[in-house]
Amino acid sequence: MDNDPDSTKLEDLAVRIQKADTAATAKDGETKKSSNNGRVGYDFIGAVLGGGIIGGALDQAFPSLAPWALIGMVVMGFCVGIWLVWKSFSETS
Amino acid sequence: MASLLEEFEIHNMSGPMFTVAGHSITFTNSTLFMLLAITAGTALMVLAMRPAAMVPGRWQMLAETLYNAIANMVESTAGEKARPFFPFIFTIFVFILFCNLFGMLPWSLAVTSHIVVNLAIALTLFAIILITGFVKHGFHFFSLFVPHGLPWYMAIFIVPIEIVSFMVRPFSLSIRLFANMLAGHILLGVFAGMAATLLTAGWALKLVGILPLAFNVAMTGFEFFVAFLQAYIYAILSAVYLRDALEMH
Repeated sequence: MDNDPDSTKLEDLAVRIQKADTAATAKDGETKKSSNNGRVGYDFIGAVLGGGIIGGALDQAFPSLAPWALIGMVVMGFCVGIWLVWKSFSETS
Repeated sequence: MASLLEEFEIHNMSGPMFTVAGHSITFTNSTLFMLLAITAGTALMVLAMRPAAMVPGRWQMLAETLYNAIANMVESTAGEKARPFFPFIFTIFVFILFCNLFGMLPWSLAVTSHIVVNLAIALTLFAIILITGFVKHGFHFFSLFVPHGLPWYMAIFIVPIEIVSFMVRPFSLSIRLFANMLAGHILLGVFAGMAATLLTAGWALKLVGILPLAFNVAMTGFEFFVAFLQAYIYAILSAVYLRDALEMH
């Protein structure tokens, strides 16, 4: 393609594709950055509450576990919440 | 004075229509606003795109802008492979957007301020993600929970945490939308009550009462922005979670 002087159209297309590609990758980084804003707090709350809900459901399904599944899953949810917050902060900085 | 939470109450609008697994199903105001959201969303997309003009009119412009925004977002966050899932994510987006917007009408119910609605959508999404993951990768899908280059003594701690963090995703996804809608509507109610009390009091308090009234006007505008933003964030996070099942990093 590079050796053919008549292929201006093709070259033009290649340039345009490259432009679109760079625009797409630039946009990619943008969305990732903006999606991190304001996520952290809800991730933490969601982890603890979600752990509690899963633990409570486990307790109901297997009554012999009660109340240890609930307690364990809330603690686990707390750990997950801290882990998620730590991960998202180390990603952005 | 009416309770602040009264606007979130669910009323039966019909008698029991039929029973499913022991629960009698009735037509409630929640059903009504969900149906309205579906009708309005479908009508916007179908009627606005009916002319299919080369030079779009106002409505077609709106429909195309929404479509392109979500299409670009899905492609840039979840990649080319996520294209088959675009209709699902776009449906979620339009449904939540219209539920949020209908909630802004006076005497209406914001359906998304009930966590059960959000959780139902999120659990459907996660069922789809799990099925896709297992169909595409088989049992290799479990390697999602083991980060690359992790020594085994760390894996003992990290793998359970990663599994639980996957399981709590639907909860954090639905709590975000629920909390935003609930908090926004309660805030509007609190300031409206404050403005009403102050503006009907003596003349000095009337002057002060203008402040919460002005704040409420600004907050109403902000709530429309939140209604759009939360629907968009829900769609973005759906695409982000879908990427995990498709690409397996």
